[in-house]
Amino acid sequence: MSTAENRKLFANNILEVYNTYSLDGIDIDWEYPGSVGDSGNTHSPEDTTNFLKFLGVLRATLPISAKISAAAQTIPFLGSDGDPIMDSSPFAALLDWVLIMNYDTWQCEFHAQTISSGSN
Amino acid sequence: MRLAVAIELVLCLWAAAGHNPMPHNPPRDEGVSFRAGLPVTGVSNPPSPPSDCLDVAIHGLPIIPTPTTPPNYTPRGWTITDLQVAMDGPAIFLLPHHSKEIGLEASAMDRSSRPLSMAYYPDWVAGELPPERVDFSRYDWLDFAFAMPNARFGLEWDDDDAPRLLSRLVSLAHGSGTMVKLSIGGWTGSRCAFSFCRSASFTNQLQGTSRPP
Repeated sequence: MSTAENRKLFANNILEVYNTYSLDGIDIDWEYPGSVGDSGNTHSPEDTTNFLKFLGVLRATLPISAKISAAAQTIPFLGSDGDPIMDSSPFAALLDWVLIMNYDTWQCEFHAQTISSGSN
Repeated sequence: MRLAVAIELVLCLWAAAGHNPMPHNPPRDEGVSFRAGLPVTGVSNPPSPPSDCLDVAIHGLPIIPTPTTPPNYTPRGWTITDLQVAMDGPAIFLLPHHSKEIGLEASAMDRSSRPLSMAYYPDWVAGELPPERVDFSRYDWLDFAFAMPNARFGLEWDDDDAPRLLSRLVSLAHGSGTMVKLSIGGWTGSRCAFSFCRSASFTNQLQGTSRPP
């Protein structure tokens, strides 16, 4: 997603799959913009900026009815300074919703009873 | 643009998972293809969890509350006894069998005025939960996982059967009024195209001439 050419190519390839399989939307599960996920992944301080640009291209490429979501950590995407961005509203303008990866927040000490007693 | 509220409940049962995220999707030659990640259950890179750890994840809270968020919506607590274990294995989906009681029945209310019910459908559960066994009436949306970007900004599947599986899922889902998204990326599917590619070494990986770092 680092160049306009690549962003357009990627979006067009997604559109082809979208049409081939009669999909209703696309979820982008990038783990993670601006920080390393799995070993061997590449990342850059410009990831989040480029991600936003890509979502704009994807939104313009897919049919108007297509829903676009993104998997997100429990903090906003990381900005060029390595900190979570303070304003996610540009993403909100392009995404229909986000899927928060709460399973990345480990709480291995609670059990079923804890869930039950704490949630009602 | 409307921001919907999605609730997804996923139970990660480490004892059942045996700490193996993909028993039905064994690692393939990484020089040719990526392995799929497992953001659904989060077991792809666990920080040494205890074997009896239960992890319940609630996904999809809105980025920013807007007037389109149901005004009277309060996240309802869930209890294990309220939930029906839909399948066994590494990814266990919990279904709210009391959904009608609390107004989440997928077909009972206008989708614009109630929370949406969603879940991932990862291709490696197909053996235990084929699309033909999914109760689509419980879901507004399913996210088929995963397609993975390659170095040429195209998409690849993590399993040879994934394209046919996705077609079956979409056909059955649409027949029941459930929408399907394709999830692109994942833990091990975020390697290259999202950010930038170390082109030479990555090309070699694709050609199987070197191992990933």
